[in-house]
Amino acid sequence: MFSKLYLELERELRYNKRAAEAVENKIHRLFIEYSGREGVERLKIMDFCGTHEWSITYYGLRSLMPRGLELVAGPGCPVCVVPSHYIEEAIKLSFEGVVVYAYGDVYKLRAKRSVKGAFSLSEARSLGADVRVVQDVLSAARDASSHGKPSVFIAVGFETAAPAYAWAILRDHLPGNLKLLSLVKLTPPAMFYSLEVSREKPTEPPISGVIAPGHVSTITGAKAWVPVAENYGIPVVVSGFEPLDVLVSILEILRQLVAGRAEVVIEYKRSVSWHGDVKAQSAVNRVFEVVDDAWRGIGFLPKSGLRIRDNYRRHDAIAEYGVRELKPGMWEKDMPPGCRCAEVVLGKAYPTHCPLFMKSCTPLKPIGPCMVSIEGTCAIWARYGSREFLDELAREIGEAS
Amino acid sequence: MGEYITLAHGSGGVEMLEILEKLFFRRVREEFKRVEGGVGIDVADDAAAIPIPGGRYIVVSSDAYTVNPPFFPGGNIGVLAASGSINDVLMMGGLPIALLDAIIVEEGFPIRDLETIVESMIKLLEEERVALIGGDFKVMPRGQVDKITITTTAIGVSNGPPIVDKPRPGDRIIVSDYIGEHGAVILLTQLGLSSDLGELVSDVKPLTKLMNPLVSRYRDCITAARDPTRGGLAGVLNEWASRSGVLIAIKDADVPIRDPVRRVADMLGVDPYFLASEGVAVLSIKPECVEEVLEYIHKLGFNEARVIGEVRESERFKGYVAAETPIGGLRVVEPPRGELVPRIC
Amino acid sequence: MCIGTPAVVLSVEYSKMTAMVDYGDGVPREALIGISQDRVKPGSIVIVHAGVIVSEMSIEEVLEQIEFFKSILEGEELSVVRVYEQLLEASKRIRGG
Repeated sequence: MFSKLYLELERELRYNKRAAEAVENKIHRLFIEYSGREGVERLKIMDFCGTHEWSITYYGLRSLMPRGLELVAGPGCPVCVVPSHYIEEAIKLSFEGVVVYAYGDVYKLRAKRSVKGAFSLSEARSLGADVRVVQDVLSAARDASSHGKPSVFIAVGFETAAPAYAWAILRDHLPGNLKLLSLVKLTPPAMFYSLEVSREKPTEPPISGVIAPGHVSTITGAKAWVPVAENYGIPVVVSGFEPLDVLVSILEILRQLVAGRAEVVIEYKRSVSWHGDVKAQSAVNRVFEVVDDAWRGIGFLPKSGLRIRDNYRRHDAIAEYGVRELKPGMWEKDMPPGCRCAEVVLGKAYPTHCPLFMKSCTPLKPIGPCMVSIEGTCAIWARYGSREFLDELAREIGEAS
Repeated sequence: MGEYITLAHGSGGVEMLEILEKLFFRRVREEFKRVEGGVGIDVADDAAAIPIPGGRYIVVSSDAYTVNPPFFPGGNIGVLAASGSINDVLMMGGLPIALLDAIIVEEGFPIRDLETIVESMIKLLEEERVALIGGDFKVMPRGQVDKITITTTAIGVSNGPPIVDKPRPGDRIIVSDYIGEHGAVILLTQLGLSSDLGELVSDVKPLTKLMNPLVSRYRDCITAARDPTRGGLAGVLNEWASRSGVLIAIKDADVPIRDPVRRVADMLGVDPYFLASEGVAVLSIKPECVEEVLEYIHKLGFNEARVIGEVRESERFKGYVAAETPIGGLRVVEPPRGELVPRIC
Repeated sequence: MCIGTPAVVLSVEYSKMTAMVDYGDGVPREALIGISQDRVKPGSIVIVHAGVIVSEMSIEEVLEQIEFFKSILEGEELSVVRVYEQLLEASKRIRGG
């Protein structure tokens, strides 16, 4: 049966050590060849997607890389880039008797300022607000229609999640009492910005290759990344999420670097096409308009967010509840003074370069967004330190066995 | 927030240890943390032990059970409340002989449901040959308690010194069965992602058939025993590593996880090591006995039991749990923190 | 970002743009169809993100994946390629009959 075989395929991509080692050896060989020829000691490859970063950490891929090949995490999590302001607005609504639906990671996300004692939706719930964790918008719709109380769904996500919200609206899945608070973000502007910033300061090596988000690309198509490869002259590989996918993508980036090429290549061919899904794109266009939007820890990026169009305002929480939009002028208040999260997110500085890191900003009392999310770069560093940490741990475990 | 109790404080992770430390461990004077010669909150293990003549001990554990929903695939709150406290006594090396229960139920709760819950609890106790020797029953006005909570106190006898968890360098870590099944069921049900979960059911059960013979025969081989409930396998291993100042190294590929649990964990973006089990034992076994013990566990019918890793001495990495990933990478297995919720990113 | 879970489509309701899918645990669950509806049929392997189908795996795409792995692994015999080929065979059978 097809699905059984799919599971077998997944096992191969996830657990086949021999395959992983074969790819790993090639990565090591090509890195030595490239770094020797170009005289570079360090090479940075940016992954752009929280789930890629999760795979890299969860499967321990960093420990398999040659020394000097650094995998840095980009701003690729639509949850951690939600500005504090909107979380505060959502907490406010929850205290005003609105049932707030949120994904688990939004539910935990900390705001910079507290609203009536609550720094997060989970704390608001502890203080009596009705906040419910859901896994998808349909579940929220079902639940909201069962009680009929005024409700808001916090619609975060990238291009991947946007069609869900669009179809929920277009096919009348939302009961009248459930409004969407659209905080959907678009990824290409952030990727451009990251690469731009990485070139500004020559003391750190720039990004030499990008592991592009796989599921975003199912919708946008791999073609969305062509400007990245062309303008910055670096390889971009659209990657799947299993460890072997990510390893093969890294290998493809190195192959291109050695050959002096800079192209968009799809590794995740089983799911991603060059043009993406046109129907999904058009559904999103019908329901949403593109706006300049604020990215937590980074700033305002032009044409980087989606808001519900006027035609569909009856589904829009911003219209219904007069949620205040963050304006460029208010932006500074959202960024903690001294926090270098923007540079960390963009792979330009390491957490230890930040004056707040592990002083006023810790995992228990996070200040910057990179510490807020458990998968944020600072939070990960706070727990494990760096590559050196992993190397030492590997040595210690190796020695004893 | 800081000034209020949140759900994270009860999730069996870092926050819970902190609040217990702040509320109890720091306040109670050392001499009153245990009965002389026994074990109490001075070590905060699965259960307490009180010495009695003949080198024996009374082992006691008390636990409050709240589960939403009270009925779930594979069991109900009654089965959970009886099994949970029995298992705590077992993990301490005691054989449970009696149980007390305190039920608080919400006004309006269907009597028929309550009957079903109590019946399944009594049936389980009979099978385990554990007497129900006392209890309490209270009703709260609607809205003042969420449906039902059951507190049980299990009492047992240990024929030798209680098993106070102290894994030592060189020990091997054994897991008795597939992990995470109860946690996966509850998480899915709470998210409204179906109440019929196909082949996936909670693993809730008493572990008497495993622990009683094992302890009688190999007590000296067991340096630690714990059932990975809230906080899951990650919680147990991290607690052991940090309390005993050791490094625990495991191999992901060796940890038994059933396919449906893996699918659920993938789907919800949670690490299966954080999912609770209610019928699994994690054991730390001295290296010289490990083969014999494992064989014996298999003979007792726990065929999935296996060695998943070992305890190491390490100055730099004491308190850490590290896992070799299936493809040969290395990661740190983190302690649970906060509420266990799914993520989309 | 964007956790995606593979699932098999059991049935489709085009008027609502929804489908019942099985994530591999044998339990039917409802998902929104985010992509062109003609790509989603009973038997399709899809990727679901936050309750929405964002991708479908076609025979052609699986073929391309096989070719890509073969080219990048440069002749090294790996079982992953074999599994892909089996997958392809099975898919052809389902769609053929």
